[in-house]
Amino acid sequence: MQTNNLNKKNILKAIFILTRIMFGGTFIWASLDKFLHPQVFADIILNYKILPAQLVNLPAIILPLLELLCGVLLLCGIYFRGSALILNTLLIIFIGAIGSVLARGIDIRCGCFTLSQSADSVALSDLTIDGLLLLAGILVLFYRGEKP
Amino acid sequence: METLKTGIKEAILIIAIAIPLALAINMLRKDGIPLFPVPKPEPIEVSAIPSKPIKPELISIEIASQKFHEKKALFIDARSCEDYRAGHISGAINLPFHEFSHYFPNVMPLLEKAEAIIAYCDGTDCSLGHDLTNLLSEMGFEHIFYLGNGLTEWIGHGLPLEKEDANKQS
Repeated sequence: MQTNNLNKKNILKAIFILTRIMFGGTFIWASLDKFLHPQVFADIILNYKILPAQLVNLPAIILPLLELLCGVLLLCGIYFRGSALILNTLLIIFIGAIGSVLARGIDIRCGCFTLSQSADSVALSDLTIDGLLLLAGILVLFYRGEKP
Repeated sequence: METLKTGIKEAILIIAIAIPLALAINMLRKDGIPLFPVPKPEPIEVSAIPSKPIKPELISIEIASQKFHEKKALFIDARSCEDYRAGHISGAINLPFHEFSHYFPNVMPLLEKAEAIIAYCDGTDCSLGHDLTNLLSEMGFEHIFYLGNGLTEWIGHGLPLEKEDANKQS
């Protein structure tokens, strides 16, 4: 019985570590293009028509580094709860922004993972991806096992 | 609950590091962007401009010259600032077509007052004057003309030129 419990715990821990690494890795990947091209990212944020033009540069400057930093911390297993909390909050904001764009019928690029001009327009699939990432983030945030 | 508390504490620390770091990196990098950009002018939303767009017309050098002498037209040089400085029709203002949104707000009051607008470029292959008149026409300006092979024709007819007149530049 004890061996079974131990196995279950190990499996859960392995799932947690894998999720944490994938979650962190995804955000590192997502942050790079934005970090390298802040002006393009600012233009994309402006296209969402949520923030006034004067305020789009601040998130364009801060978000990519925040995502990158949190991603690296998650990969390393340092401050992973704080990182997951920040990224989960961002994901909720992203989901709201994408939902609002879809509801208003605005045809723009998502700017979620790539800033490429050939990227597809915002679609329901982006909501699904962000929803799945949020689930992963919640798992990482509330995992109560030992520190990996 | 404990995990959430830990998360909040860690998150505050991460944000406290990330924000100044992001701002510092932005300040140091070559392609850094301003924190609070000045909004770009929106040239298309010009409610003050007369409506009823009309198709711009080609104007002959003779009529352009006549309007010039009667001071009944505003001449617009659609070429770059460098070309404009090197020589332009006397009294013409510069509105580079390729930097239209940048220069337009300064020029708009003059365009609104003008009885007629004559845009020009130089050379038979240059379409900037024509393109500019099309754009202005779409925006609702009236009495717009373009002078084909503008500056060459102008010089060929011995009409007055100006050089390096920075004050006339928009």
